[in-house]
Amino acid sequence: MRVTNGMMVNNLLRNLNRNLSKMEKTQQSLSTGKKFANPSDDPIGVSRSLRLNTEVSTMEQYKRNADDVNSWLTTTEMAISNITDILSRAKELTVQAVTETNSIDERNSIGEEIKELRNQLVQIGNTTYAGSYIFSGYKTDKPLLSQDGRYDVGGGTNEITLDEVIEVNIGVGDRIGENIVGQRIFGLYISGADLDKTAADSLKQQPEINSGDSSQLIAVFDKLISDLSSDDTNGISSALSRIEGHADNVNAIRAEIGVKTNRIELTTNRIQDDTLNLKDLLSKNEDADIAEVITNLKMEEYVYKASLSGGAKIIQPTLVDFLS
Amino acid sequence: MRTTFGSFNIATSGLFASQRSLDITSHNISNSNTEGYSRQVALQRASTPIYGDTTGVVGTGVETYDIIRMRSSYLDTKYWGQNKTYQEWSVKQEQLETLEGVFNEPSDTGVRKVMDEFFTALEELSKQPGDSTCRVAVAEKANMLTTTINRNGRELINAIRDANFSVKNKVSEINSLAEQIASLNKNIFGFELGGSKANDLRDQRSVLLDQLSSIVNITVNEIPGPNGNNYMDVKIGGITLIDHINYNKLTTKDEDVTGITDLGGGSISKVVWDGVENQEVKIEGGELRGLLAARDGDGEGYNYRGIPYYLNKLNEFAKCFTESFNEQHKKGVDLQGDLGQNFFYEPVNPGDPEVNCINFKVDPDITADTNTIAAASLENGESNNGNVKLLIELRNETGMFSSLKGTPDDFVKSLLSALSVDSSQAKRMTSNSQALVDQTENRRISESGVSLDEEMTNMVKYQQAYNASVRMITTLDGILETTVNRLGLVGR
Repeated sequence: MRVTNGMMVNNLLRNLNRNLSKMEKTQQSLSTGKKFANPSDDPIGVSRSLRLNTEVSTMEQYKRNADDVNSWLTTTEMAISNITDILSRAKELTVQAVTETNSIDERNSIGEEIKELRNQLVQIGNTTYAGSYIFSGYKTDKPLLSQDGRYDVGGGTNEITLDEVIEVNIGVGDRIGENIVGQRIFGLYISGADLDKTAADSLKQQPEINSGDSSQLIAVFDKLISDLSSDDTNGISSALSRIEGHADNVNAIRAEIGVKTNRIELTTNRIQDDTLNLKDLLSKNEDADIAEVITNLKMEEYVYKASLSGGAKIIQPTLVDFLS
Repeated sequence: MRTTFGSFNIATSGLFASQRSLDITSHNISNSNTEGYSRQVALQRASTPIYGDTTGVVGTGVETYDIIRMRSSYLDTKYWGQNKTYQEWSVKQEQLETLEGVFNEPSDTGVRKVMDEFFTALEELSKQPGDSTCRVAVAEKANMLTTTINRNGRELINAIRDANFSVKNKVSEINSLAEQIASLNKNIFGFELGGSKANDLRDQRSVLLDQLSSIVNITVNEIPGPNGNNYMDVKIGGITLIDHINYNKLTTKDEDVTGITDLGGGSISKVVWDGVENQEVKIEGGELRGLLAARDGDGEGYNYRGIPYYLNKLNEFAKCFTESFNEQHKKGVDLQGDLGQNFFYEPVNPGDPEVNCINFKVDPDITADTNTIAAASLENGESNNGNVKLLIELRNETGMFSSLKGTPDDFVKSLLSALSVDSSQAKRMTSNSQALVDQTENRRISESGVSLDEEMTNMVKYQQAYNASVRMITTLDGILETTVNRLGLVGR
């Protein structure tokens, strides 16, 4: 093949350009820390990267959801543990009232304390978490109980149903209910009904709570207070088993929350593991191996310099330089 | 009997021939960097001999009988054929690079990210459906999603506009080149009346044809004429563009195209032959084909996936996402206990345009009052999140789109996959076809380019030949001196 100066210049320029564009790619990879900048650099890698990013984002959201549910459950757990304390104190006082001979003053002071405990129960029923009433079902903007121990969540019928459980996503198709509907603790008392029923039993006939309905638990306390003031010993002693029944019910609910908390912890751990794995995959997929990139860059620099200096040697001399 | 002064003629012809060759060497060296220049060579031969008396045929010196350019028309034809493919793909590659820029993935500002954020906001709302901050966040993130799609759509439409503008430019370039080539044809025809070649003008014409082959597929023919000079014609897709000294013009015809013009993309210019009613130009290569493919390719059937394909996809996304989301949203109840309305805007009147990537937006009523977001499944308290949960599930819904069975994420991903696969194919095709063009160009320069080494060698060769001819004349002079002035002087 006949070689001309134009050919050599063209070839040199083309090769210089190719080396330079390679170097530019490597340099971009070094400065961004990513293997690719455009989808066309690695179609499969980019599509995988999109999926992984979305999964990481959902996982992080599930993590936030799980944390929120956990806080909510902790608040509920604390409220319920307070109820347990109140019930055991009430039991103590009731036992005291039944077994010992008490003066009127003593009985009155027991009555006063029971009254205090009853009011505390009402307050616990209206516990809030971040401004939401946790026992009010879906009506988290309304307190559960009014001061007289009646349900008070606005007008209308079927106010709170048992299925008003706020479910939150903590995984794909995996949901957890964060709240305990109030009547499961406080029960429903219809005037003249059997006070011996536990809260759970009291809901068997009518599970939903309407505004103005009375609470079984509070009704037990109210009955005890009136029995104390009228010194009705039978009444006082029957309160003992009633309180115990409620305490059992509350403990069962507490156990349920414990199980849920446990589940949340497991889920949180799993989410964290998954997130870590996904981020690892993401990094393997799109992050450049800096050592490799720098080595490549160095090599490309050498090649480029070599082609430059080679070019300088090739291009210049022709016969022109040697004819005198 | 030889003539006395005949030898001078022989030596002089050597002088002239060397001088002519030196002129050409000088011309070659001067043009060594001229684009499209083909080196020229003087053809010499021994001039017609005369019959001597008894000595046989006697030479009469040298003559330069032609100056030719070293050029292979085969390589030219090959170059034009390959160049059109290279230019077509390089335009396609440029266009796809623009699209990659529009979608801007992987990044933290693409559709993927805003969709993630929208669904994240819905998750937050599912935890506090009554909270106005969460409600505003949902409306705000939905707004981000729609404006991102709007922006992408508008940029696609701008890309179509730009491509259309370039098509018009290329058409006028073709016309201008055709005019120049036709006028060169006239000159060349005149120069070549005697049968010799108008080398430099032909080089100029080749450069113009190279340029034309970048824009559009051409076939070039030279038809021998009666006086040794040739007629030339250039055809595009079988129809004559240049016929010797005449040329036809191309023009553009503006048409409104549904899906582009109504979205603000302006009219689309069809390339047609000027003066012939609706005769479309058959464009099979070159930048013009790349531009038309990018501008018109809707990806239907075997059609190229150009900008309209991506625009249609975005439209489908906006429309189907709006419909599915609204359908679910309407099943819920809002904070006032009313049934949900449209979350995303949907046309009300029968004449209104369908939802597309440009008018995709959050319904103004939602933005005005975020309490109208239907988060609940029933009116039984602000924390009922039944409908939000179902709205979130739409993200895993695979029956939303007609052209693809997949989730909204899959849809976006498949769009980008198509783009990235096409773009990397375009890159590959560009570099492959470029390698072919480069190779042919190299062979062309190898054949036609000026080699300075060669020219310098020739220069020395012709200089020495010239010197030798001069020496010959001096010698003849000496001989004549002897013959004229010294002969017959003995005994004077």
